[in-house]
Amino acid sequence: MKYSELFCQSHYSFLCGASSPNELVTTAAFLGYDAIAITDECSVAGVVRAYDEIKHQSLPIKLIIGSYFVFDRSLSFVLLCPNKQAYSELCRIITNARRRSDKGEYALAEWDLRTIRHCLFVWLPSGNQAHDENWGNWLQKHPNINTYIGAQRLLDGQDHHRFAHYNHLQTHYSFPVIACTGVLMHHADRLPLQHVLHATRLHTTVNKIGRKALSNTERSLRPPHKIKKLYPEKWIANTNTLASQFTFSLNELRYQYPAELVPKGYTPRSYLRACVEDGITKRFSEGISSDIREIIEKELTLIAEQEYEYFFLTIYDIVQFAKQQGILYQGRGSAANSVVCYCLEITAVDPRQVNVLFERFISKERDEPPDIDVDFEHQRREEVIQYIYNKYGRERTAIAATVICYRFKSAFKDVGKALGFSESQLDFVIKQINRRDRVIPWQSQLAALGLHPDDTKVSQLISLTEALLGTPRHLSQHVGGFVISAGPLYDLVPVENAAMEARTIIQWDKDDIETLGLLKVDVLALGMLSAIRRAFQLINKQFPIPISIPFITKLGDDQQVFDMICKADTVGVFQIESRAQMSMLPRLKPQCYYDLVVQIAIVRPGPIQGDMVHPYLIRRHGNEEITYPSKEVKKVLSRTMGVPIFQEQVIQLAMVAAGFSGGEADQLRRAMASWKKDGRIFEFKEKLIKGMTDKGYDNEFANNLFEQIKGFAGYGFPESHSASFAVLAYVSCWLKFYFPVEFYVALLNSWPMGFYSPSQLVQDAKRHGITVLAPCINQSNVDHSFLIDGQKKHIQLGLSIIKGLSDGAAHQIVKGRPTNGFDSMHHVQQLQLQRNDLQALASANAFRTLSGSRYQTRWEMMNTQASLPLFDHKESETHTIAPPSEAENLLEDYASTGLSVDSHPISLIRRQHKFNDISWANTLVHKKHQSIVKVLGAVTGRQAPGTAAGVTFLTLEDDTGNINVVVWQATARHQQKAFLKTKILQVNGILEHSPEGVIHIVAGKLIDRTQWLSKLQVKSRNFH
Amino acid sequence: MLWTYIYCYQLTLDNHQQNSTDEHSSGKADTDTTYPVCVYCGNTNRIIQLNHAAQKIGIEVGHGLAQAAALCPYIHIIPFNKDNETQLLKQLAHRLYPLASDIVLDSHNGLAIRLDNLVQYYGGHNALWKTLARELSLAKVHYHFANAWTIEAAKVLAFHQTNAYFHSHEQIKQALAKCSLSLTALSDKVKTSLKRVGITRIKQLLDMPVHELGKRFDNNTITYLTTLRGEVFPKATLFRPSSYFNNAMALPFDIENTQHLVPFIKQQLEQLAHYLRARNLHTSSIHVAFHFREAPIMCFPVCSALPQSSIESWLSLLTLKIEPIVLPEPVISVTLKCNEFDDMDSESSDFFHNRFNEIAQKQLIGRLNAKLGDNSTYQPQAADSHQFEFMTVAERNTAHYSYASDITPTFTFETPKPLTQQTQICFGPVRLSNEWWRGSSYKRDYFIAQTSHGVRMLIFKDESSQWWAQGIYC
Repeated sequence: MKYSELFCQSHYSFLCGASSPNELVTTAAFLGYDAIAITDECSVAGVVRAYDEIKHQSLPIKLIIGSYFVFDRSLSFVLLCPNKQAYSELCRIITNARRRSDKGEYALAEWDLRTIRHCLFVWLPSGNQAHDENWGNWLQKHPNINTYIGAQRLLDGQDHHRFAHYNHLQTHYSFPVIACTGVLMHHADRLPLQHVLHATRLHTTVNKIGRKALSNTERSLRPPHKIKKLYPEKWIANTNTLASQFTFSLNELRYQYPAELVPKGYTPRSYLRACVEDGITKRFSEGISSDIREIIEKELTLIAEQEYEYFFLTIYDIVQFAKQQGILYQGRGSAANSVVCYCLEITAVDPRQVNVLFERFISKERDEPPDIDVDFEHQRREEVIQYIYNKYGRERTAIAATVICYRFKSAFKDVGKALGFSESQLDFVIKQINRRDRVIPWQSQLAALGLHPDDTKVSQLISLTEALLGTPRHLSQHVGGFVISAGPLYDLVPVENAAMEARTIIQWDKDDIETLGLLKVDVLALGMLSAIRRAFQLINKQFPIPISIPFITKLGDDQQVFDMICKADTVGVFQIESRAQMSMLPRLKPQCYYDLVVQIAIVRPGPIQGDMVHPYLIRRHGNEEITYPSKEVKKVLSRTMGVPIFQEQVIQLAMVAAGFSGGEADQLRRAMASWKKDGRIFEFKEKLIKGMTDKGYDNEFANNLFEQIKGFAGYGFPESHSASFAVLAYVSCWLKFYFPVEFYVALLNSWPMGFYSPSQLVQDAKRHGITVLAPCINQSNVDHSFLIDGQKKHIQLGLSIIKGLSDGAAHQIVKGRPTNGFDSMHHVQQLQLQRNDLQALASANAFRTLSGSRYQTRWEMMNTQASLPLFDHKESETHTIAPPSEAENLLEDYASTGLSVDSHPISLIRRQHKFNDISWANTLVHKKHQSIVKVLGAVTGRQAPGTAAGVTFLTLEDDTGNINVVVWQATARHQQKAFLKTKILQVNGILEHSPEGVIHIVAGKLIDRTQWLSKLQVKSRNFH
Repeated sequence: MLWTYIYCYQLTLDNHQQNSTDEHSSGKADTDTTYPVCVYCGNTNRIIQLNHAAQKIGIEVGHGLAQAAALCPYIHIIPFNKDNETQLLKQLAHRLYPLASDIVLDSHNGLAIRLDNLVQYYGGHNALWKTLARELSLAKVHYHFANAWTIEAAKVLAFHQTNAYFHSHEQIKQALAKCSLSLTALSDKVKTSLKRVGITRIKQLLDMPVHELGKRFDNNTITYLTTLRGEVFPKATLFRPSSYFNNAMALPFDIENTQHLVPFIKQQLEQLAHYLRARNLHTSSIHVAFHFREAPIMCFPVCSALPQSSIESWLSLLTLKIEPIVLPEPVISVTLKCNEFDDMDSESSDFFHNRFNEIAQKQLIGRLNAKLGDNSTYQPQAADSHQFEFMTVAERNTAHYSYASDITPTFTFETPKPLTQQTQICFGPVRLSNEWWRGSSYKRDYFIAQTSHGVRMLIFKDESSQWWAQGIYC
C-alpha cells in the first residue's frame, strides 16, 4: 500500500521532536513510504540533513519540504512546498515570523497567511467548533490559499469526535481531507525521550505533565498497512495524490554570488585574471619565474572549471577593504595557500618558500568546496563585518548557524530534572563526575555518588541521558561564517534573529551549507594579528622600513630566529607558545618554515593519540630508516618523513591506499569532523581496512591507519591551516627576536589574547633584560608604550592596565597633562575626574611621584573638605599615614594591574623566609638528572590534556623563570587540597632532564605555601 | 554599664549535632568525629559553619560548595536558613531569660546580656558568669564571649574570640586595641576606605585625631567609634519572650518515614510541655508543619478533645495523626506551633501527674479523628493522568465530581480484574502506553464493552490475550 507522511517534526523542532531527520527518512524508507515531509516548527533547519541522508544512502523516498506553524491557540497548520516558488515563499514567511520575535521565538501575522500563493496549506483543525468555523470561513474567503484538512488519528479516545468534526468541515467547506500523523518520533521506543523533552519545555517533571503528554506511541512512523486500517481509503488516496504533486528538491537551489563585484566590461573570469595579474606585479616585482606562472595558470584553469571565480573575488573584495583600512589579516584554508591567493593578497604564504601544490588543497576529484578562512585583527573584525553588511545589505547577508547540541552536562541535568531529581543533587553529581576518566565511565561513577544504576529511576536517567546526547537544543551563531547571495537571502533559506543585537543567522549550519554547495566566507578574529600590526606601527615610527608580513617572509628563514625557537624562548609568540608546544620545540628543533608547519600540527590530540610524534622525531633525527609500503604512500607521506601529520594526508591515504573515491573521501572527512557527535566514522572502518588489505597492505598498517584517522577525528589539523599559522608564528618570533620591546608593547596592547597574562609577559620581558615601568600619572600614555633612555628602550605600562580606570578618564589625563607633568594631587583633581577613576589611579600607585605612597594618596583624597569651593587651595596635609609594606604594595599592584613591576611574589617570600634547600628556576639546569629537588613558585597554569591519561601539567613561576611540573593522577588525588587550592606551591620531586634539554619536575609532595602571601591574586590558567 | 556578648558562631551546626546525638543516644560515638558536616549558605555560595571532621579534610569557612565537594565528596551539607537560626537564638534567649532579664538579640547568632544590674543578685561577677556559662553549656551551644562597657565593644571582643571576663576598664581597653577593624560594625565602605590607607586595627583608629576623622567620615561612624570607647550608650531593644509557642527544628538528615519523625517531635513536645508548665497553661490544639526541599509545606492541626499539657498525651495523638500521612518527599524540618491556651484550674487539673476522667470518651473520638481524619468521607476526583488506574483519586471535601475524559469509567479498579462475562465491544480502541517512569512498560488497547445485562465496562486485552476489566460505568 502507498502512503506518504505529510506532517512530521524532527528534533529540530526543539524540545518537541524526538528523532533526527536522518532517522525519520531512513525509517520511512524502510517502512515503504513514498514520500515524507519534514515539517519542523517554523523552521527548515532539519531538511538538509534529511536530503543528505536520502542522497548518500540512495533511499527510495521523496523528501517534501514544509513547516508546521502555530498561529495562535485556535489555528495551527502545515505549509508544504510543491515547487521552487513555494519554497521561496515558505522561507519568506518563516523569515518574517522569526525576525519579528526574539531569538528562538516566532510570531505569525495574518498578513503572512494572506500572502500564501504557492504553498499548500494543511489545516489542522483545533476541534473547537467556534474556532474552526471562524478559520474555515476565513480560508474559504481566501481562494488563493490551497487548503487541505489534515486528519490525525491518534487512538487517544477522541478520534470519534475528531473524525466527525473533519467530516463536518469537509462537507461545509469542501476542503479535501488528507491523512497525516504529526510524527514526533521515528520509532515508538522514543516515547520516553519525547516525554522528557516535553517536560523540559514545560519546566516540569514527566510525572507532572499529566494529560498534556502523549498518551501513546501513535505519533511515530506507522507502517502503511496499519495506516490503511486507521483512515478512510479516500483520505489516504487524497494524501497520495497530493504527495505526487511535489516536484521540488533542494538540489534545485542555485546559489548566486553577488554580481556587483565584477565591474562592467569584465566577466568574472577576466576580472579575476586581471586582479591576479595586478597582484603579480606587486608580489613578484622582480619578475615571475616560469614555474610559478605555470602554477598560476593551472590554478586559474581549475578555478574556472569549478566556477569558483566569484568566491575568490568576494574574499578579494573583503581583504582589499581590510587593507585600505590598515586592518591586518591572513587567509588560511584549503584554497588560501594557492599562488592565486598570494597574488590576490589573501595570504602572505610565499609560494617560493613553500612547495605548495594547489591541487593538494583544491581537488577536482574530491569535489570539495574551496575553503578560505580569513583571520582579521580581533579588535577590528567588527569593522569588516559592518563593511559586509553595508556593502551587500542585511537582506543578502547573514551568518551561518551553529547547532548547539546537548552535551553531557546539559543532557544529564535536563533528564534528571524531568525525572524529578533535585537540582542541587544533579549539580553535585555533575561536579563530581570525572568525564576524563577513561577507566571508569560516567555511568559507573554514579554508583559512587549515591545513584545506583540498579535503581529504576537511575537506569532511566542513564539511558535517557545517552539518548539525549547530541540532540540539537537550539541554533546559535557561527563564529564568523557569512553567507552572501545575489538576491534576498530569504529566497534561499530562512533567516532569524541571533542573540546578539543586529545579527541575523540563517537556519542552516556549515555542514548544511556545504551539502547544498553554498559558499560561506569565514571572517574570523585573531588576536596575534592585532599585536603584529601594532608592532609594525611601533617599528615604523622609528625606522622607515616597509615592514609587513610579506616583507619578513621574503627575508627568508633567519637562523638566529630559529635558534631562539629551538631554545623554546617563545613566550607570547603565535601558536608555539603553549606549554606542550614549548616542550616539543627543543626536541623537534625547527630549522625552516616548513618545520614550523609541522611543529604547529604535531602537538595536537590527533597526532599524539595516533602515536605519530615519536616516530616522526626518531626519523627526523636520523635514528630510524624512512620506509614506505608503496610508491603511492610515499608520495603522500614523503614530506613528513613517512608519518601522517596532517589531516589532508590521512584523507589522501584513504584514497591512494584504500581506494576511496573522491566522494567517499569527502564523506570520510565529514565523518571525522562529526565523530564525537554521531560516531559515523565507524561506518568506514571495514571499507578502509578491506580496501587496504585488498591492495596488498598488511592488516596492521590498515588498522593503524584507522586508529590514526580516529585520533584525527575532531582534532585533526589541516596542513593548509598550519601553513598559514606558521607564517604568523614565524613573524611573531622574528619580531620578538629583533624588536622585543616593540613586540611586548604590542602584545600587551592587544591583550586579552594568547596564552599568557600580562604579568607573565612582563616577567618574560624582564628576564630578557628589559626594564618595565609601572603606570605613572606623569609618564604613561593610555596604551602601553616604550621610552628611549639613551641606548636602552624601556616598556612604560599604560594607564589602560589600571583596573577600574575609565577609558575617558585615561584620555582626559593624557590630554590635560602639562608638559612638565602634574605637580600635585590637587593639580590632578582639577581635571574633575570621577571619584572612581581617582581611586583606581591611587590603587595602581600612579601618584607615587606626587605623594609618595598609595596610602598617603588615598588619605588626601578622603578629605572631603578639600574639595569644597572655599577650600579650593592647596592644603598641606599635617597627618602622615605610614606607607604600605613591600608585601602590601605587591598585593595591591596585583589587585590593581594584575602584575607588579617592582617585585615578584616569590622574591618577597625569599626575603621573608630562609631557603637553603629550594632550587630556583634558573638553577635547575645545573641539577643532575633524577636528582631530588624542591621548587617553589606561584601556580600560573594547570593543564590536564585529554591526551595525557590523567597527568596534570603545572606551571610554577618564580622570580627567575618558569618551572614545569608533572603531577601524576595518584599524586594529585592524594594531595587534592594542595593540588586544587594552592596559589603558592612548593613541590618536592624528581628532576628529569630530557636529552634535548627540557627540564621537568615529577611531583612527589605538594605543599601549599599560600599562607605566606595569603591575599595574592595570581591568576592561574586552569584546565582550559 | 557592663554587657557581655555571646557570639554563637555555629548555632545551626550545634542544633544538628545535638539532634544527631539524641538520635544516636543508644551509645554510638559522637557524630562530630565520624563524618564531616558543613552548613552552607546558598546565597553567598559559602560554607559558613563546619565541624571538626570537615576541618580535618581541609574545608574552611568561606569555601564554595564545589571546592568543599572537591575536597570531600561525602560531605553532609546542611543548607543555612537565617530564619531557622534566628528561631534557635530565640530558643536560647528563652532559656536564659529566667536567669537574666535584660537580653538583646543581635542578628541571628549573637545575644548580649546586661550584667551590671544583676551582679548584686548573684553575689558577684564570678557567680553571675558561672551561672550563665552553666546554662549555656547545658544548651550545648558553641560560643565566643567577652564583656565590655557597651554591646558594640563586647561584640567586637567576642568576635575576636577573646573568651575572657574582664574586671577592669583598662583590661577592656587593651583587649580592644588588639582587635582588627574587620570585626567592627563599621560599614563595609568605611572599613574598605580605612583598609586602603593601611588602617586595619582598632588601635590605629582610636589613636587618630578626631578632627582628622571628622573631615573624612560621617556622623554614624564617629558615633560608633565613641560607643566603642564607651563614651556613648545607644539604646537597645530588649528581648521579650513571645506570647505563644513556636519551635522550628531542622532535622539532622532527611526523613522519609513518619515513624522516624516521632523522636524529633518528642523533643519539641518536651519544650512545649516546659513552656506550658512554666506558665500554668494547657492547650487543646497544636499545629504541626512539615517542610520539604521542593514540595510545599504540609501543615495540619492536631486537636485534642480536652486541653492537655503532658508530653505523653500529645505524643500519642500526634503519632496516630502522622502515621497515615504519605510524605511527598523527605522532611527536612518540623515546626510545632501552639497559640491557643487555657488556664489550668484547680478543679480539673493537677499538672504534676497524669489523670483519667469521664471525658475519656472524647479522647477516644479525638484519637479516631486523628487516626481516620476529620472527615472520613471521600469523593472521586479526576487526576491529571492518562492512565485509567490513576485517572480518579479519592479526595476529601471535594465539591464537584468530574471525569478526566468521556471514556473514564465511573469506578476504576486499582488492579484490573479478569473479565469473566460475555461482552460485546461498543467503542475503541483507546491505546495507552503506561507511565514508563513508574518502572514497567506496557501498551494496552482499551475498549468499552457491554454485557448481556447492559453493564458497560472498560476492558483491555493483555499480551497473553487475557481480557481484563479496568472499570465500570454507571
